[in-house]
Amino acid sequence: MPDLSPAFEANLLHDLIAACQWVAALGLGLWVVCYFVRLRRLALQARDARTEERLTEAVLTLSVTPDPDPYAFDRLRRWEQAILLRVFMALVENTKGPDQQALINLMRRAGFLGRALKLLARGRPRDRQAACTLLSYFDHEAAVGALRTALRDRDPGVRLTAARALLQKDRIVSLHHLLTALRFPPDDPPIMMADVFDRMPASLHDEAIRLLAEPMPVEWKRMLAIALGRRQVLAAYDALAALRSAPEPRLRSAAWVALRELGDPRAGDLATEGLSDPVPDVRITAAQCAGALGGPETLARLVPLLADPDWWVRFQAATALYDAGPDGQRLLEQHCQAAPDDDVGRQVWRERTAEAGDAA
Amino acid sequence: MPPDDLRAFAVELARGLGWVVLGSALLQYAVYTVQTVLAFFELHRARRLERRANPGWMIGAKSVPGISLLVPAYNEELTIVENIRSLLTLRYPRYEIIVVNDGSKDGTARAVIEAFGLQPTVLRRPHPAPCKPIRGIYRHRDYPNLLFIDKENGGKSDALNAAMNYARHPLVCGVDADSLLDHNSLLQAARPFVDHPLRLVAVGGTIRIANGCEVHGGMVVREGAPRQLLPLFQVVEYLRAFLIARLAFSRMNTVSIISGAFGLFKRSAVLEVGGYTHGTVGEDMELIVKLHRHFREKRQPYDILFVPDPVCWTEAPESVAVLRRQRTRWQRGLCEVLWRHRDMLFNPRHGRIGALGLPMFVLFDLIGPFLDIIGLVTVPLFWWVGILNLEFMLAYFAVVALYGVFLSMMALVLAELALFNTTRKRDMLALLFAAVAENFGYRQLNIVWRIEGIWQFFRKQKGWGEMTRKGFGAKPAAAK
Repeated sequence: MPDLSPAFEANLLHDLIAACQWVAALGLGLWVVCYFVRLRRLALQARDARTEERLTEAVLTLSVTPDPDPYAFDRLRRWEQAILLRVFMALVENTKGPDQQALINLMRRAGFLGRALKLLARGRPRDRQAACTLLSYFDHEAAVGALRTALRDRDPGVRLTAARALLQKDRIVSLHHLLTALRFPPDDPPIMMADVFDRMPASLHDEAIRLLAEPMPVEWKRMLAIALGRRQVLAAYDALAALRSAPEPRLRSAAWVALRELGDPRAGDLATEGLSDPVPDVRITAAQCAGALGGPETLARLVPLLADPDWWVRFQAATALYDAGPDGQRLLEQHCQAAPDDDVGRQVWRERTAEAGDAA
Repeated sequence: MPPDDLRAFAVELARGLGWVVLGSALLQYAVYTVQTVLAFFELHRARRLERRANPGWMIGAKSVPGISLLVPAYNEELTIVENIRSLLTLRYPRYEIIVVNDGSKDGTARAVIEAFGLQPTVLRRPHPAPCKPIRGIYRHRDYPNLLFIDKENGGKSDALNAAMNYARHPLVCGVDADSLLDHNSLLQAARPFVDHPLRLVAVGGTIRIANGCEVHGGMVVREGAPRQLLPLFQVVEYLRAFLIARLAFSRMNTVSIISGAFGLFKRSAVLEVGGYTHGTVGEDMELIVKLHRHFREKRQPYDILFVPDPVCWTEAPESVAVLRRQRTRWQRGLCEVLWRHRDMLFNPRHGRIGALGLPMFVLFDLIGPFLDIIGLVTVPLFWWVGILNLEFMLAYFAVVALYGVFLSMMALVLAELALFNTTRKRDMLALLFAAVAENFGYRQLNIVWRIEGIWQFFRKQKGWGEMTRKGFGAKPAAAK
C-alpha cells in the first residue's frame, strides 16, 4: 500500500482526473477531425465518380468520331487528367477488337504517351499502376524504357503491373532478370507469380525451359512448370518429363499436372511411372495425367489404383477412369461388378452416372 | 489485537484494496492504449498493402485458390434462403457453398430444398473430421456451386466438420447462416492467401452489426446506426473488439480468435488438427488455439492474420435476456479453451501466443472482471463509510469511464479510417452517444455477465441457450 501524504495523494488524484478528462476530450476531438476528413474524402470520391462518368462518355464519343480533336483533353485540370488516364485504362482493358483499337488510336493521337510517362514519374502508386497499363499500348521506345525503369519501382504493385505490360509487349529480354527485379520471396512467393508466368510470351519459352533444369526455389519452379503446361509449350515436354524424377514431391506432382495440361500423348504412358510414387499427391496427379492422355493399356494400369491405401488416390483414379471416356468407363464398370458396396470406384460410378442422368 | 488497532488495520487494508483496483484499472487501460497504437500501425500496413494491388486482378486469374463456404444452419428457416441467395452473388472467381442443416427442428431443410429445387444426390467422402450421420445430400444442376447436406443434430462444430468433409477447394470459410457477407469480402479475405500461399493458415475479417442497416436481397445496401440502445452499444463494442484488439493482436502475430461468423482457413491445416472440436461453445477460438499449438509443436512457420476490410454483417441481440445468454456463452467458451490449453500459458515453447496472446485473455477476460467488480462495489462503499475520500472515488470512476470513452472514440476513429461509409449525421451522433453512454452501465453489465459465464463454466453448464432472431427485415421469431 503506498504511503502517501494527504496533499500528495490529493494532487495525484486531481491530476489523474484531469488527465482522464483530457484523454476523453482528445479522443472526441480526433474523431471529429476524422469524421470531417472522411466527409471530405467521400465528397471528393463522389466528385471523381461524376468526373469519371463524364470523361468516359467523352472518350467513348471521341473514339467513334472520324476525326477527333487531339487537343480535346488539354484543357482538363491536373486531377482530371489522372482520372482520364484511369478511364482510358478501364476502357482499354474491358474492350476488345475494333473498339479497343479505336481507343488506343485516340490515346496515341491525344498525346497520352507523355501524360502516362509524367504520371509514372510523379504519380501516386495507383496512378503509376494505371500509367504502366496504358504504356503497354504504346510501341514507342520511351514507353518501354519507362516500363523497364518501373520494374525497379519501390511499390511491388507497380513493379508487377510493369512486368505484365512488358510481357504483353513481349519486351522482356530475360525471365531470370524479370524474376530478380520483381523481388518475390523465394520461400513463400505470391500466387501473382503464377499469373506472371501465365502471361509469358513465346520468346521466353526457351529460357523458361532452361530454367526448369537450373537451381531455383521449389515453388517458383512448380509455378513455372504448370504455366508451361498451361501454355501448351510442346518444346517443354522433355524438361517437364525430367521433372518427374525430382527429389521434391511438389515438383513431381507439378510435372504430372503440367504434362497433362500440355496434352502430349507420350505423357500418358509415362504417367504410369508416377502411379507407384510413395507420395499420395503425386499418385493422384499421375493418375489424372494417365487418365487424360493414356491409351487403353495405360488406363488398365489405373485399375490397381482403385485398391490404393489412400482414399483420395482411389477416388481420383476412379474419376480419371470415368472421365477418360468409354474405355475407362468400361474398366470402371467391370471393377464395380465385383466390388463391394462401399468400394470407392463403385461410389464414383454411382455418383457420376447419377449426375449424368440428372444432366440428361 | 485491540479493537482500535484492528479498525486501523481494516481501514489500511481497505485503502490498499482501493489502490490495487485503481492500479489494475490504470494498468488495463495502459495495455489498451498500447493496443490502440499497434492497431493504428497495423491498419496503416493493411491500407498500404491494399493500395499495392487491387484484389480485382484475381477475378480473371487462373491460379487463385478456390473457396468452400461452410454454412452451418440450425433453425434458420427465416433467413437461410435469403442468405444463400446473397452468398451466390459474391464476387470471387471460384467458390462453392456447402449448407449444412444440423438437424433443425423447424423447416430449414424444406425451405432450402424448395427454394432452390434441390434433388437428392449420392456423394460419399471419407470423414477425416468427425461428424454425426448424414441423412441426405442435395444439389441442383442450375446451382452447381451449391451443396446442401442434411444431417443429424450434433452442434455447430459437427456441422462445420460435415461441410469440410465435402469441401472441394483448398480454402474453407466458416460463415454463420444468420450473417451477410459484403460483396467483395471473399476477394479481400483471400488476398493474404494469394500473397503468402504457404505460410498463411487463417484469416479473420471484421464482424459488424446489421441492425439499423438497410438490407436488400441479402446485401447491406446502406449503413446505419441501430435505433435501439442495446444494438447501438454493441456496434461500438464490436468496433473496439475488432479494430483495436484484433488488429493489435494481428500486429503482434498473436491472433487467438477468429470469429465463427466469418473466417477463412486453409482446409489442409484445419484437417491436420482434426477439424472443429466437438462439445465446446467456443469452437472458433478453440480451432485457432489448436492451430497455434499444432504449428508451434511442429516448428513450422505459419501466420494467422486479421484483416479489417472483409466485412461480415450480423444481427445483434436486441433484448437483455438474449444478450446475457450470448455473453455468458462466449465467456464459457473462453474458459473452456483456456482450461483445455492451460499448458500453453507462459510456455516458451509456444512462443508469443503462449507468452502474450493467451495470458492477455487470462488477465483481462478472466481476472479483469473480478477486479472490475470489486472496484465498482468497494470504492463507492469505502467512500460512503469514510475510508476513501471523494477525490479517490472520482479518480477511479474517471479512469474507468472517461478512459473507456477515449477507447471507444479511438475505435470510432479507426472505423472512420477503415470501415465507415455512412454520412448521415443522425447515425454519427447516435454512435457518438453510444461511445460515451456505454461506459455508464452497459460495460458494467457485461462484467457481471462475464463473471456469470465463469460461474457457469465451473458448474459445467453446457448448451448454447435460446437465441431470438428477427431476420433481416422480417418479423421476430424464436430460434434455438
